[in-house]
This record gives sequence, structure tokens and C-alpha cells, in this order.
Amino acid sequence: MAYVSLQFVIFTAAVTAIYFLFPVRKYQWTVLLAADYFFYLYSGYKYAIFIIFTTATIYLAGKAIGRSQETEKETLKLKKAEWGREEKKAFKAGVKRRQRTVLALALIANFGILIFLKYSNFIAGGLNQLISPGTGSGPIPMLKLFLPLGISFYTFQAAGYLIDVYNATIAPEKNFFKFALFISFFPQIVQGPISSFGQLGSQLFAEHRPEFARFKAGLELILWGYFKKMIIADRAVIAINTVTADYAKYSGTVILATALLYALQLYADFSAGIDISRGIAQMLGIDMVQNFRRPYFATSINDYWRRWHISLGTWMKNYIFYPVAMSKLFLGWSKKMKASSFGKTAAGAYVAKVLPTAFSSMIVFLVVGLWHGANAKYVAFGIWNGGIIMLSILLKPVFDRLCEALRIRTESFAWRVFRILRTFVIVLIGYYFDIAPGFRGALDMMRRSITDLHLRGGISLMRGLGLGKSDWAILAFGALTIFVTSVIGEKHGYEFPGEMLEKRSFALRWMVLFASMVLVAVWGIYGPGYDPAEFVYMQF
Amino acid sequence: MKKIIIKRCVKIASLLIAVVLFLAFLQRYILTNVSDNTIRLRGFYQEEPNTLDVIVLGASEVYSDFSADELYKKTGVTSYPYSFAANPVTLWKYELREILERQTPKLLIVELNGAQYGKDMLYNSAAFRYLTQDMKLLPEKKEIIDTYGTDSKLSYYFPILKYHSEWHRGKNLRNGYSMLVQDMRGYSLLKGSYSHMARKEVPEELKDYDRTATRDLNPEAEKYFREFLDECKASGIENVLFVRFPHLVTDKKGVDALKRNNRAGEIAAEYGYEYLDMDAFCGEAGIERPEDFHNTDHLMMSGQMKFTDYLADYLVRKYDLKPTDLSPEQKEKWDESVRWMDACFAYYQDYMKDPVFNREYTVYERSDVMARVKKYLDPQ
Repeated sequence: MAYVSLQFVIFTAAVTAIYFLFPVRKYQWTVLLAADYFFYLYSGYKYAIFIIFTTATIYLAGKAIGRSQETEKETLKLKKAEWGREEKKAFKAGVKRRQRTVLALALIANFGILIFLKYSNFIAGGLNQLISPGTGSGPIPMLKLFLPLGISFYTFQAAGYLIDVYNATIAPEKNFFKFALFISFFPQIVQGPISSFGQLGSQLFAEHRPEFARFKAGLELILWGYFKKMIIADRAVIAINTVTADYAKYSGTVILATALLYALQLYADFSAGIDISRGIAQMLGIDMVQNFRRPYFATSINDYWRRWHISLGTWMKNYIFYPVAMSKLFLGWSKKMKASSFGKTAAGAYVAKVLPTAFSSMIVFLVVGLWHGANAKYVAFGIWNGGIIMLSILLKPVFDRLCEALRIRTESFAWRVFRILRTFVIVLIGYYFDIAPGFRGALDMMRRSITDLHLRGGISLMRGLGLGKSDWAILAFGALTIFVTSVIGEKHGYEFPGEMLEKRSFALRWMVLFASMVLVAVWGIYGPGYDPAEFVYMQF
Repeated sequence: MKKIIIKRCVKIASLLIAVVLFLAFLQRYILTNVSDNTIRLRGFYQEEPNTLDVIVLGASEVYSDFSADELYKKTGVTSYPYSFAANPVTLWKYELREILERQTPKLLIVELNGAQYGKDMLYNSAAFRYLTQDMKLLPEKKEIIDTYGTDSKLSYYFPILKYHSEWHRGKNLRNGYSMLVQDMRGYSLLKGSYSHMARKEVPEELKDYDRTATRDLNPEAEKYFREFLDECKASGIENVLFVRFPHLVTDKKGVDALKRNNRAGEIAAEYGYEYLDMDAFCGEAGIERPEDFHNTDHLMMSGQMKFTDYLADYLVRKYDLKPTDLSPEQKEKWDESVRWMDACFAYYQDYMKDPVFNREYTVYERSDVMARVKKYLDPQ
């Protein structure tokens, strides 16, 4: 069931109505669970086994760890007087080891499925390349595999829950069905955001009454989402697909314009999906985490990743970055470097201090790259982003001194604009890996974007990309709308344009909403003859 | 509290209603399949019930070759071309039901071109859309959509789903505006007429072929035709005349079409209906070949007038048609329409002083064309 379909609108309206009319409010959450599984089975019943497996294994593992933690507490309480410090320590270590084993087994099983379904052909291809280089085939057969809907998202969310239980930051959920709801919540199953149990769980199971303010805000958010998806993203993707299908046919100007268009399309598409998800949840009385905060206004690549796909960034930070950076191995390296002669110098001391952070960032972005897809270009995408962050961490003192030497006023508006543009260029380079057919293709596209710029020819070529003049005008209008609302949002801290209207007159709000609905209906890409693109992040 | 809830509900409902009404307006006039065909069919539904004595059913030959205003001017008999481009025999039985739902014609004329279509034309999706757009008989509309609808069936009921991206097309805007003007006026001026103002170059007519020869219809076409004939019988309509309007036969395709038309005529005769190949009367009607033809299948406006005049005489003689009994208001509207048709013809004659060949230029109830015609309007 596509988000951009009448079925989905009817489904959502029906679920909302049943949810609030459900006679026993205590069990309201069961409506959501039923809706989740209806949505999932309707979208592809053969996938259901995987989500059920993840739900069951993570639930059981969480319960086992939780029980172990309880037993540990009770035993320590009972043996408080009896055991000495060493005995307690040994007991705790034993319990932790057992818990770690359960955690590891559950994570291996679930990430194993994800890796098998998503990456086995990538790994097989790589191995074949090693065994028989240049032949394009090899002894390891390629498998015909399908990717269950939302597998990356729900696997990460479930893993996060289990790690939180293991770290005792949350108590394990006792009710299997409530846990199943947390894993399968329909507005987020397709493309996130990846929520933590602590943030989302209690809201899902709480009793909710319909609230006008939530309904209004939720519907406005959904409308904004459809505006971005149907008017901008699904229109831009037509030109992007035309060029990327055979980029060699086009001039560097067109390729550069396509990369810029992709930046617009990707943001419009992904943030639209999240807005629709969050809007639905909001109507149901549930607040989901923010996933975007005007990412193209980021002043550094670090900042960008704090604004783009925030929930994935948070997940990576909590469950990969910190554990890796604080691991004995990395801290050991840091210590060793500090102790070395290089570590005694000012530069060496700095490098030794930030080394775990820098390397952890690289590892995180390699994972982020792979998370996006099983392809060398995504690995390159990860290395590019990780490498830039690593360098920016390691060379921070150099850059600071350079700014001082050049007497740059780092608080000035011009410097901020420069940093925004610089970050955008870095991000844009990363996008070439997304749109190119492969790693080499990405490099070639970049090269041509610089060396093959013909403004006049380029502009005329833009006419043959599957979009008419009116489409380009609409895209320009859409981009301008996003830009203006983002500037205002950035200045006043608004999350989405609906908030800007909050204190405006009824007539103005009414007019804006009226115009938005009409524009979506008239300018939106939908209906027979069109094949509206799936949300980009659904494939991940 | 209750008051606040009611107030909020009223606000939301008013916003949604406003959006729906505005979109419905756009769907009616712009975001839809809007063309001369839809304007013509809309005009049919604007005629007062039971005021049309003659209905002419068929495809593009009907509205290109026949003028209801001219027939009225000549005989005082009201008529209307219930026709649209490539109207296939597949739909005729539904069209008859739709006609009889609103009118009680004394005579139904059926131009047979749509009966000789091959399979592709029998299931031409554009035709299904033209017909169903304004159809009043909902069960029939549903049956057509369910049986023949090709893409999203919902889009037949809500054309905006299919045509929402057509908003910027000048043709749509012009036709939509024309439809709006016609709707606001409440009746059609040119009564669906579509008059060609430019000729296309056509090959010379064939000479040695048998005008009375026949050839089998497509089996599916024959099935639909017989269903239509059964429907005619069952409807109890007084007079039904099957005709072939004037054509230039210039190639084998044209000969085949003629043969299949003749075969359809034979089948109509089996049911006791008369069939006329009107080509035979072109000489008597004063239609010059090829000067009065736009292309092989359609007449120029001059031909349209000559042909309608001839047909008017024939129908009055044959069916003893008397001027339609109209109220003074209705009569005034028809007289106004005749003045407009005269103005169109004057415009045509002026235009033809310096004719442009091989161009599609037609006069139909389109606002910009009507604005040009207006200066030829008799001030009386």
C-alpha cells in the first residue's frame, strides 16, 4: 500500500477513526497493532515471517536479559552480607557474560538475516571478483533475494531496544503484543524514523483522546509531506531517472544540474515520507522523533549529519560510535600514542586525544554507507563522508589557526554562508555516488560536471529530460517554497511551515491550507498513466 | 466546550467543502477531457427535455456534415447531433438509452461509420471517456466503465485523477472557458456543429468500383450493431433512418469502409429499417467534389450547409416532419442560434476568399472562435 494512494488515505482515516472510537481505551493500542499487521500483510504477506522472527527473537532475548538482571539484583540482595567484593564482582561478570551471549546471539540472528538478504549478492560479487577478476562471473552463485518491507528500519529499532535493555537503560517489555506494536508501528515501518523504546514505547501503549490541536498539526504536517513528495520529488525524479539511465549522453552541465536536482529530490522525498509518518502519529496522539532539521543549512559535514536522518545518526551514535570510541582497543591506541614521543608534542597530544573519535566516525560512516545499499558506490559514499569528518576532527586546530591567520571573522554572516555552501558542495559530491551507476561512473560524472560545462547547450538539453516548461516552473516554485520556509524556520526555530501559520489570522491560515490542498491535487504527480516513485528510503 | 467543538468542526468542514467545490469546478471545466466533443455532448443535456424532434447519432461525420441550426432554419424542426469523434457501435445502445431518457424524438438518424470499425476503434478509450463524462444514466455509465474502462476506473468518475496535469494546456483552458460560457448561458448556440474552414489535399477519387458491394463487419461490431437494432426495436422509437454521409472514396480503405457500411445497411434492413447511401445524392444536393470536402470523410462548411439543406428537404418529405412546437422562449433561443450559424457561414465565406490549405481550422462553440464570428452577427 503506497503512501501516495487513495487506499492509504482511506486506511489511515479508518484506523484513526477506529482508534479513537474504540470502546475500551486501555486496549486502544490493539487497534494500532491490528492496523500494523494489516498494512504489513497487505503490502506483501510473504515478508511477514521476517518481522515476526525479529519481534519474537528480540522480545525473548530482551525478556531473558531482563529476567537475568532481576535475578542478579535479587541474588545480590540476598547475598549482600554473605558475599565479599570479589565474589560479587565474579558473579556480576558471569551474569553479564551470559547476558552478552544472549544479546550477541539475538543481534547476530537478526543482523544476519539483514546482511544475508541485503548484502549476500554484494559479498558474492566481491568474492567472485577476487577469484576471477575481470570475468564478470565466478564460482559463487548470485541469489534471487527479496528485501522485506522496512527490514533495515525495524531491525535497527529492535536492536536498539535490546541494547538498551542490556544496558539497563530501559526495562524489557513484558507484553509480547505491545512489543510487536513497537516494532511494526505502521507510519514508521516503511522508512522510519528509527525510534527508541524509551521515547516511543510508552506513547504507543498509552490511552489517547482526540485532540483538535494535534489533529490540525498532524494534518498540516501530512499536507506538507504530500506537497514535497507529489509536487517536487516525484516530478524531479523523472528528469533524474532520464539522465542517470544513460548519463554519457548528457553534457557536464546537465549532469551537474541533475546532481543539484537530486539534492532537492532526495530531501523532498525523504523528509516528505517522514512528515507524513509523523503527521499520522501526531493525529493518533504519538510524537515521533524529528528526523530532519534543514540539513542544507548545515555549516559542517558533522552538522549536516546532525540535521539529516537524525534518528539514524542518533542510533549510530548510541550503538556504534560510543561503544567503538570507548572500546578498550581504541582507548588503548590513544593511550599508547600519548605515551609515544609524538604524543608529547602539542599536535601529537591533540591527535592522541581525538583519534578514537576520528576512527569511530569513519567506522560509523562505513556502516551508514553500507546501510544505504549493497554496492561499492555506497561504500565510497561512506568513506567520503567519514573521511571528511575524520579530517575535520584531526585538522581542526590547523583550520582554526588558518582562520586566525587570515583574520576571518568566524561569527560573520558571510563566513556562515561560505561554510553552508562548502558543506553543501561536500554533500553534493557524496550524492554523485548515489545517482551514478557505480563507483567509476560517479567519478566520471564528477569529472564531467567540472570539465564539460556548456551553459547554453546545457539549458537547451534540460528540455529533453521528460519534463515540460510548466514542470520546471513548478519545480522552481517548489524549491523556492522549501528554501523560504527553511530560512524562516531556521531563524525562528520552526519545525515545519504549519507552525509559522500558528499565530496568523484565520483567513490567512485558511487561504494557505486551501491553496496547498488545491496545489497538491492539481500539480501533484499521480493518477493513471503515472508511476509515482516509491519513497527513496523505502529501499533501504 | 461544545460550542468550541462545533465551531472547529464548522471551520474544518467549510475548508474541506471549499476545496472540494473548487476542485469540482476545475474538474468540470479544465482538469478533464475537454474538447469540442464534450462541449457538444454537454449542449445536448442543456436542451429542454422533449424538445428535440430529430437526433442524429454517429461519429465525426455527423457534426462535420450536419448542422442542427441549419435544419431548424430550413424546416423549423429541432434536432441535435448526439455524436463525438470515433463514436463506435459498441456504445450506441447506451447512447440510445441516454437520448431517450431526455428526449422523445420523432426520428433517429444513425450515421453508420462507427459500425464499420475494426477492433482497435471499437474499444477506443477516448470514446468511452467522451460518452461517460456527462452521462446521466448511472447504471449504464457504470456498465460501460466496468466493461470497457482501460486504466483507472475511478478516473472515469473523477477525471481530475487522469487530467489534473492538463491545467496549463492552452487548448484545455480555451475549451474549458467555452464550456463555462455555454453552461452559464444554459444552452448551446451552434448545437454541436463543427465546421471545417480549410481543405486538405486528397488523392483523386476512384472511379471503377461497385458502390453496392458489401463486406462482412467485424464480428464484434456486428454483435454490437444487432444489439443496438434490438434496442431500437424495443424502444418503440417511431422512425429510424440509417445513413452513410458523403465521403470521398480515394483508396482501398475507403472502398472497404463503403462495403462494410452497405453491409450494415443490409443488416438494418433485416430489422425493417431504411438505409441510405447519401453519397448518391451529393449531385442533387449541389455538393462539389472535392471542393466541398475537408478531407475524405468530412465536409467543409459549405458542404455542411448544402448537405443539411438537402437532408432537410428529404426528411420533411419522407417523414412529414412539421415545425417543432416550441415555447416563445425556446423559439427565441433557437432563432438566436440560427443567427450565430449564419454569422459562422458569413465568416466562412469571408475566410474562404483567401483560403488556407492543409490546416485544421474549424468553427465550433469555442470562445475565441466565437469572438471572431461575432462581428459577422446580424445586429437584428
